[in-house]
Amino acid sequence: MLQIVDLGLSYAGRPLFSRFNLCVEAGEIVALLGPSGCGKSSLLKIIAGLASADAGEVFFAGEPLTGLAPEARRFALMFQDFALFPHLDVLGNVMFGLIEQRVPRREAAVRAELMLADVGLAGFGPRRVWDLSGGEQQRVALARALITAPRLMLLDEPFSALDALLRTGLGDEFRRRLKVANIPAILVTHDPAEAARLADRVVSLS
Amino acid sequence: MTIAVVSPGAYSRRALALLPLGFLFLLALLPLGRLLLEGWDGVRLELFADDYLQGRLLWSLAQAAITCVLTAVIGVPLAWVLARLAFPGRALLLRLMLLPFVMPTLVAGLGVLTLFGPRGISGLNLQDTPWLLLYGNLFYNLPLVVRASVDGLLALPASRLLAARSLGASPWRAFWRIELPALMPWLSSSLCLVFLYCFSGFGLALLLGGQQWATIEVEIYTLVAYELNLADAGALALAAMLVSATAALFYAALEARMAVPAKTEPLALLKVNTLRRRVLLASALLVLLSITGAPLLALLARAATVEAQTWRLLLNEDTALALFNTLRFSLMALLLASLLGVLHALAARRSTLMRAAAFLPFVVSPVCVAFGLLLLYPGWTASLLLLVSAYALLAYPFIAKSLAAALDALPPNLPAAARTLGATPWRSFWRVSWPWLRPAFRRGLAFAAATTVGEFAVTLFLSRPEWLTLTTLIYQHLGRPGQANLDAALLLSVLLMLFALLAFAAIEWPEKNHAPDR
Repeated sequence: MLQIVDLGLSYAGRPLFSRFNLCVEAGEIVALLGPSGCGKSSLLKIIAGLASADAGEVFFAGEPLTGLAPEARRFALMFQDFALFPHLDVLGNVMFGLIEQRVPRREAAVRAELMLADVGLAGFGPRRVWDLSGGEQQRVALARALITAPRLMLLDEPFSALDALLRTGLGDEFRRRLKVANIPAILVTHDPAEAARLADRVVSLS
Repeated sequence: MTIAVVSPGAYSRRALALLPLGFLFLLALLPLGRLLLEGWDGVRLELFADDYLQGRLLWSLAQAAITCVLTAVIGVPLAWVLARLAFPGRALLLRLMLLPFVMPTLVAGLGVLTLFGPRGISGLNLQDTPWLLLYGNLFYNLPLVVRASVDGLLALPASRLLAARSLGASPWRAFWRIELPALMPWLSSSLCLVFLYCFSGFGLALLLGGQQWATIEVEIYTLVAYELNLADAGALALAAMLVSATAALFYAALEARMAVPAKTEPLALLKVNTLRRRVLLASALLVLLSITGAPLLALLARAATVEAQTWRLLLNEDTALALFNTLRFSLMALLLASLLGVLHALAARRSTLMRAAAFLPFVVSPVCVAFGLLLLYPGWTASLLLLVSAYALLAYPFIAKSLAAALDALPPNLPAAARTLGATPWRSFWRVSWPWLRPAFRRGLAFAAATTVGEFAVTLFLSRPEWLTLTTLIYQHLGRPGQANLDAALLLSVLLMLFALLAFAAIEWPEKNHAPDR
C-alpha cells in the first residue's frame, strides 16, 4: 500500500535519516520505534504531506504522493496532544472532516453521533473538549479520524499523554478498530513494549 | 525541513513585512529623522540656557518622575490587595482596570477639571497648580502599574512564599524579601512606560497644565501652531525625543530580560475575615475609586445637571459634522490599520525586529510625529490621506501585537490536523485558525478604535478647520468663554466616553466558544 523509497531528511544541518525505506501492506500496523529527536514525527508529517523531505519519494497504491496536498491524501494523522479544536464542541470536532467532504450538516451530525456511540462516548456531542479527561479526548480524536474513512492512519505517540492503565486499554482498542476497518497504520512510539503489543511489525529508527 | 502549512516561508514573510515596514518608514521614521535634522539646525546652546525653556524641560521630567514615584507607592499595596485577597467582584475590578486605557485624554482631562477645576464639584480649586496634571497622570497610569504588579504577584509560585514562611519569615518580611523582589521586573518595566507616557503626553498637559505647568510637548505645539517658530520647536523636539528614546530603550531592555512566566501554582486567595484585612480592602477600593473612578463619575454627574438649552446647543451642524467626521476618519483609519496589523502580525512570527517595530508607534510622541509629518510633507498638509495614515499609524500596533500574541499561542497541530481531515489551506484557516485568532483581532481592533476616536494631538496638527472631529470640537468649546460652552464640552465628552465604553465592552466581551484558559 504505502511505499517509502530512499527518503532523506536533515534538521539544522544534521542528517536525521538518509535512504530510509519502508513498506506498509494493506491492513498492516507498523510501529516506528526510536528515541525522541530521531525524526519519527517528522517522518509522519512527510507522509501526511505536512512537511517535505530533502530526498526520496513516497508512494501510495503505486501513485507518487509528491505535490499532493495533505487534504487530498486522505491520511488521518493523530497527534500526541490530540489537537482537538477548542472552539468546537465534541460533535463539531467529529463532524469536521465530513463537512470538508461536503456531507450535508444534518447527515454529518447523525453519522458523528453514531461514531461517538461507537467509541463509547454516546451523548458527549454537546460537551466542550476541554472538559473531557485525557482518555475521552483521545477517543474523540480517534472518532474524528475514523469517520473520514482514511486510507492510512498515522499515529504520533497517541498514548503518551495518558496514564499507564488507560494506555494499555486504549492501545488494544485502537488495534482492534484498525483491524476491523482494515486500515493500514504507522504508529510512532518510544516504548518498545507498546510497539511489540500493538504492531504487526516493528521498525527501529536510530 | 519545512512545515509547509504552519508557517509562511522566509520569502513570503519578507513580502508580508514590506507594507507595514514601508508604512512605518514613511510615516514614523522619516518624519522623525526630518525633525531631528530640523532640531539639529535649530540647536543653539543659548536656547537651552533660556530660563523659561529650561523650566519647561525640567518640569516635564519632574512631573513624569513624580508620577512614577506616586504610582509605585500607591500601586504596589493596591496590587497586593487585588492579587492576594478574595472578595466578590474581584475579577470584574481587575478587568475594569483596563477602562482608562481606552478613555480619550480630553475626557479624563475634563473629568479632572470637573472635580478640581474652577467651580469644581469637590469645592477645591487646583487650577494653576501642578496637582491637576499629576492627578490626571495618576488616573491613567495607576491602573497600568497595578495591573502589571498584580500579574507579577500572581506569577510568583506559592511554594516559594510558603518556603519563606516555613523558614521563619513573617508575612511582612516575606513580602519584602520574596514578593517585592519577584515583582521588581514587572514594576520597573511598567514604571518605564509610565515615565514615557507622562513625558510625551500631550492632551492632558494641554488641558490641565495651563500656561504655568505646560510640558515640553505643549510648548512644541505652541511654538509651531501659534508662533510659527519651527527652529526652536525642532530643537525642543530633539531634546524630547532623546529623553523618550532613552526611556523606551530602558523599557525594551527590561522587557527582554523578563522571562516568560511558566505556569505556576499561584497562592490561594486569603479570605477577608479579619478586621485588618477588611480595613485593607476598604482603603484599597477607596483609593482606587477616588483616583480612577472619580473623574469619570464627576463628569457624568455634572453632565446630568446641564441646562436644557445646552442640549439644544449641541443639536447643530457643528456637532453633526464632528460626529460624522470622527466616525468617517476612524473607519477609514481602522480599515488601513487592520490591513497593516494583520500583515505585521504574520510577518512578525519569529522576527524579533518586526516585533520591536510594532512597538515604535507606542513610544514616539504623537506631537513629534505630527510635527515631523508637517516638515516632511508640506504639500500634503491637511490632506485626508495623511491624517488617516497618521491615525492608522497610532492605531495599528494594537492589532498587530494582539494578533501576534494569538498566533504565537496557536498550536501548530490544529491547522495541521484540519489539513489531514481534508481541509484546504484556506478552509483550514477559516474553520480553525481564524476562530482562534478572532477574539485577539477583536480586542486589538477595539483598542485601535478607541485610539482613533479619541485622537487629539495629531488631529490638532494635521486637520483642517472644516474637518471638525469630536475632540477638536470639544477643544474649541473649551477655548470659548462662558458656562454654556463649558457645558457643551462636557456633554460632548460624555459622548466620547460612551464610545470608549463601547470599545471597552468589545474588548471584554467574552467569546462563547473558547477554552477558559485562553
